[in-house]
Amino acid sequence: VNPDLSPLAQHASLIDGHRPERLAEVHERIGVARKRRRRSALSAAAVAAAAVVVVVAVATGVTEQRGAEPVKNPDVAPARPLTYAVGDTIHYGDRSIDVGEEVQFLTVTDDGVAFVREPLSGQPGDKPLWFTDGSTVERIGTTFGSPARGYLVEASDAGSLLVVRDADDEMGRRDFVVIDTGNGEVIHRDSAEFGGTDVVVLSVHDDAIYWAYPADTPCDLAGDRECLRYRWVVRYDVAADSIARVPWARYDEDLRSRPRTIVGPDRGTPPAPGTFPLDDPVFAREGTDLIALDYDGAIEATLSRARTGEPIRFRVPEAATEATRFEFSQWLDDDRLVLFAYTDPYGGSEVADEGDIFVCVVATGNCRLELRGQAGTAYQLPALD
Amino acid sequence: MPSDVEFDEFVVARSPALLRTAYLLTRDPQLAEDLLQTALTKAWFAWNRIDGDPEPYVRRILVTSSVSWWRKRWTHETTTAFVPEPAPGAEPPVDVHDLMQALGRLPRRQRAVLVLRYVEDRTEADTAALMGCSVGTVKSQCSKALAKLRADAALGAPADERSAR
Repeated sequence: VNPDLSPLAQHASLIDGHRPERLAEVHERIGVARKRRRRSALSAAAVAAAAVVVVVAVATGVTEQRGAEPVKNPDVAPARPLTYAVGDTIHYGDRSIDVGEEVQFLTVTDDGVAFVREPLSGQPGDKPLWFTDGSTVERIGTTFGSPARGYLVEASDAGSLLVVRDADDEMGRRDFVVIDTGNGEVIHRDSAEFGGTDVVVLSVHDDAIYWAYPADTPCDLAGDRECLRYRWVVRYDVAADSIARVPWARYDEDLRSRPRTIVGPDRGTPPAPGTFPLDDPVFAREGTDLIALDYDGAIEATLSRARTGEPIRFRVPEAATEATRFEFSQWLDDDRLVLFAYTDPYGGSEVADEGDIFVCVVATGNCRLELRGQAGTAYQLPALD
Repeated sequence: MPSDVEFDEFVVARSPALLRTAYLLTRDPQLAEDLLQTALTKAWFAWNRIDGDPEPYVRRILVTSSVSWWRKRWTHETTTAFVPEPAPGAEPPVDVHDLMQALGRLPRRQRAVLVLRYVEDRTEADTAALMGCSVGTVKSQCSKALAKLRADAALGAPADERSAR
């Protein structure tokens, strides 16, 4: 005889389900999540653009590049200075650039800093995308977004590229553009009708850009990144200015040549076994050790360098910070990265603005406090806008 | 972009029911609220790709998220069941506290199966769909969970005199 569980239904019905502020809280979370996923989500225009190009590629027989891709030269790329913003000022290494309005987003290439400036109350819409090399400021393009929703701009892990969802054209279509910040030129542009589906950018490198198309996978959620690991991935070859689809195995192979790629554990689960690139690793602190968490920040995970397969372990000096959570912000070079350390305001996975900045060395696992935060000082960091 | 208006209407209309499920899955009103908001946030990103009624989709996120939350949030979970204030004129069930505690001692997956099957009265197929597993898994998890409840000392003899629907 089984126990009767029906009293639980009555019990649960007593819980208050009518919280008027819930909707606002959900929208706040959506805004935060969009920021966190900014690196991965591009507009439907990009999807459609990608789809159109892929279809054209298929039609013309230029698909499934099966030949071996040239392995990336392992030469050390130039170092990038620590970059962050406080209010109207961008700190780019030892330079401080007052851009005249609050910086709501920034990202770094080898040439400088791309950013969006507007009031915190800014509404979603087309916004100028600015760029500074540390001395001058110029407009480099247009993007879409708002402080709450984030902006659809992603920089290459090394090199000069920006992937940007551009503004509407007169037909209401959006462009998916690739900008070379070395000369400010758009090196690739596609336009397509707004299709209503997100394309998920997997990784941006100086010679190639990869993305997946959720509609072509069994994935329910664009945010369920591991689920996107399915059959093939779209690759934009920068030098050839061509787009083709390649099998995931080829993508894996390419990632293993990338020093600035961190991958999660091989879960060995469908749709395809293998690792997955993590563009913004999160760590929880236990004593002096930093424990890597999965993409949602809820489950402990083992991270490793794609190129070597070595596990990544970080530790912070004892008493260096009271922060409980550390999030990846930017690579400084092939071995040093920046983590933003903060105390999670909700005990969940929300990003705080106030915290400390650490620089960690992947090879040794040692992290040092680079900049101690101050109460009331809100930082804007790459990947954590 | 997803339809903000439709999403907002869904949140307002269906949150109370979804919160009840979340509460049974987490046994903590604050965690339940957190779980619900997490599920709704995830759903928003896929809103314009949901074909038909979005509620099953959101419920699936709710269930799978509750099962996968085991680390950081797990530590916030209390072992003592929260007993909400009864509505005026309503008498809380006398054994609900024991039931909630017994439910909390089950592994999360088994807890989710029981909540969906015997509290929300869903079919095995529905439960499997919501949990993203096979009907066979639902059956086996259900069987194990019920066996544990029967053996749970906190439920005692009266539990043996009750029967699942």
